[in-house]
Amino acid sequence: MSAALDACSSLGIAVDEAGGPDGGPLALPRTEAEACELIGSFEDTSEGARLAPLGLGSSVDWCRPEQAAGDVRTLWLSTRSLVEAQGGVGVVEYVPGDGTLTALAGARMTDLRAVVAEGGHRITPAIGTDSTLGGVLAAGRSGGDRCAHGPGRHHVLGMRAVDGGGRVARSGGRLVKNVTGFDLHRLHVGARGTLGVVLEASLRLVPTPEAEALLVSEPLASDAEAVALALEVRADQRVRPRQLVVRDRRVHVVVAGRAAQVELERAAAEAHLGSAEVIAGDGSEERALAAADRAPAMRVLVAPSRVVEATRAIASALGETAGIVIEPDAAIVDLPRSLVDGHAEAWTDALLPALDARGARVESRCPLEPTVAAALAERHARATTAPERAWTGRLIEAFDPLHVLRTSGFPAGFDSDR
Amino acid sequence: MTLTRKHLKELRRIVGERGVRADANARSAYESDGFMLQSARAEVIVLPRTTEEAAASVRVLRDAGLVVVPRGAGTGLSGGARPTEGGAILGTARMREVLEVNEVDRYARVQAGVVNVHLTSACADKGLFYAPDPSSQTACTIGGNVGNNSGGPHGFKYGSTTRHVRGLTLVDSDGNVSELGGPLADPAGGLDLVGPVVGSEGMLGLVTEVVVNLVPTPESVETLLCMFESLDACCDAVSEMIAQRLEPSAIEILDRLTIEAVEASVLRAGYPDNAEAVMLVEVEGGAAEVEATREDVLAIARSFGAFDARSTSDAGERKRLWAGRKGAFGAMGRIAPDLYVADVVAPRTRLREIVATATDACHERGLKLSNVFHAGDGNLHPNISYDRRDEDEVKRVLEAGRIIMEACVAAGGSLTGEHGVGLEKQDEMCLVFRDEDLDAMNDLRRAFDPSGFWNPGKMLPVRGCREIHTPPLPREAGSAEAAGASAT
Repeated sequence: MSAALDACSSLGIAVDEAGGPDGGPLALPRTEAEACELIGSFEDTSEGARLAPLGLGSSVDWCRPEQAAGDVRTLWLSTRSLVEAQGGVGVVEYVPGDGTLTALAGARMTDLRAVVAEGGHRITPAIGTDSTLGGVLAAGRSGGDRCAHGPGRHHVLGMRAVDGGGRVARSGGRLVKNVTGFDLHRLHVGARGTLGVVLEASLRLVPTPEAEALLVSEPLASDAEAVALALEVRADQRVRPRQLVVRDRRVHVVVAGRAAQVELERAAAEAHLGSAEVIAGDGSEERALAAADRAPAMRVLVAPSRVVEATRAIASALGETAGIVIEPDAAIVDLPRSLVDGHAEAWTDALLPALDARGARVESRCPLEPTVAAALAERHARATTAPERAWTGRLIEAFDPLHVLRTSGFPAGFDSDR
Repeated sequence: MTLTRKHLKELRRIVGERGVRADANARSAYESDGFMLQSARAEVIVLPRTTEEAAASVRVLRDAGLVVVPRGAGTGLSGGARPTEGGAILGTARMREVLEVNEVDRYARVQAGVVNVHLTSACADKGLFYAPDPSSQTACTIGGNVGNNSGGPHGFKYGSTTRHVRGLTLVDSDGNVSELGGPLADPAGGLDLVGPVVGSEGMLGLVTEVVVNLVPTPESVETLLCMFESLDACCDAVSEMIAQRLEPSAIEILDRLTIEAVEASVLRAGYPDNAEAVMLVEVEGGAAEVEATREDVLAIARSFGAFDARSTSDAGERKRLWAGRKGAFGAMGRIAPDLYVADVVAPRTRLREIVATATDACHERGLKLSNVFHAGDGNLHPNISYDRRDEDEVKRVLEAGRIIMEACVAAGGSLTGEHGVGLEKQDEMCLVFRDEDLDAMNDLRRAFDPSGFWNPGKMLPVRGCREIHTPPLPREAGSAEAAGASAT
């Protein structure tokens, strides 16, 4: 690692020696060229360390620095410093007339949201926490608005990324429709930085709705009951929710669009929810973002038709559901770390088998106790074919041939010491 | 090695007599797709009925040393679904089963050869539909749509195919079968391998089944027809609608020559005979949303000089208006025997400028240009009518096509919005991408297909000898054709 730090010094890159989320060193390049040169030369100087991009750290838990830090040190590479060196908020191009935004990876989502709001647009995925664009994309995050707009990855128009060999490659573009070349950017979204460091991305924006209302139900007896009620709203053709989330046993419904339509949909949704708190106008967007916000430690994906059963199985196995957030339309159940740490036996003996029986897939986003990690690895091995593992392996070899960008446990089946 | 009688016998055992075609007539029928300017013949056409048959066929073809071109209905317009030289075509024409429609979870599982419009028909009684609707949707297949990441008029609201594919079944060059993704919402625990396969033009493997997203049928739908005295004004009105952030589900433009061709055809839609251009707009959603958006669209159209406009929610009339639009390419056959359909994308703020460039390029070369395009997405289709028997005219058509592409790229646009690169735009990839970008794309291709077995010689330009793709092995004179002649 000392040689890597020397390399930073010789490249003129400042280092905050304890600036990383694990207390490790954080490199602060000022230009893209510096960042690329550091990555390209990293293997020669790393002494077995790894390099990981860092925005604001909101997704770092998902990339499991603790595990990687066990035996392998990490040199963190700031994407924020590239934005700060330029002096702006990281917007490369915002074209209101075309509804597109191109920004640096280190740009704060809150800053970008403010910029496009001026032009009557919103960013999807709608993310409430203070994250960077690169972090959101690398973590494969979607927003509460996926009910209306789909997952975040569907709105990435193009990207530039530097891979583990220091090669900068671009795919896609800044246009809302474009099928020229392979969609490399789709690989980087959700790859947690293992195939490269995102430098810049272009997004398709969505219009700010003319009107919007958030309806929050009274708490129901259980999360499963709340999910069942949310699915009732989903099945009502009169309501097209922008957001549909269950948290704290309450159903949160956002309706948005033309003012007259929102009034109709709000009334239809209220008919399902009964006495609901209604937040309209100023503050509704922030409240909606907060309702959907979470940093899951474990994610359960299941079909909507089985999400009630899966929720019951979670409650039954863990004995509690405090802190879980459910999107019934996408059928995603996100569990906080408090329902993972210290529950190893419940996961391995009861919950995972019960979820298996319901066709669910489970993805971890935090360090796990060894027995749970082993059980998940075994499930992933069963769910993937030999060709899938070969394709993934070859992609890693092509884009990170020297394994400087490795992250423990991701992709599933590829160890940190690969 | 080459395709021998033994290989043909084995292929026939796997897919049946009707599934193997090696005779001259069949090979001729498959020598090009919708891009008719170039053609080349495969040694054999194999038409499996199931994933298992496809996988077994791949193993035989690989053993024979042939490369393979995946093909759906052959409606593609970039030369992507025909061989560069020899090899085999693996077609999905007999894989036409809708395997599952799940109403609650809103997805369908289909074989790759299902015709696009048949899928929507199969789920209509459940209040759901499949959103991507290419103009060729009565013929093109879901597998072909996946290969090209196809769009269609309603892509303005719903996006292209990639936003509607949840999972797929992929056969690799060893004949192994993998199910990528599936009905669940996101990739779990690994890389998103579905994303790069969509739009990969058959270069990463053979897609045999697809899990697609289904969308609830809207409560209310209206189709608007706005008539303009000038194509420029029509383009500017669209740019303004985008700038005003209106959200119809489709915004299309047809120019005068297109209108005349449609109205003279069996697809007569009732388009006006006194307009230089018409804008076809669809608005859908809740009744109040439709009403509000319709009024905003009409107000902008009028402010940009629309001299007449009408809207309809009548299903029959709407169908007629859209049949005219979707059949426009076919109707062009009245103008000349052949049609070159350009497919380029411009920033939506610069539609008028690119249309003007196309007009000038064709006028200067004495070519007949008509325009029918997905204006809301900036996806232009300048169509040049020509006669391929006239070599000089073909040369002028290709010149004009290149000028249009270059103008789009210079304006910040792109080479293709929905038809793919294929063979037609392979060389122009270097206008858009640098060597490093193309190297990375090549790395992606090799990760899935290290031996260059799938659709070689497409999309990625050859920039040096090291990149020349694995050619089909030399064929012993007459061996396959002679052996297959009796099979037809």
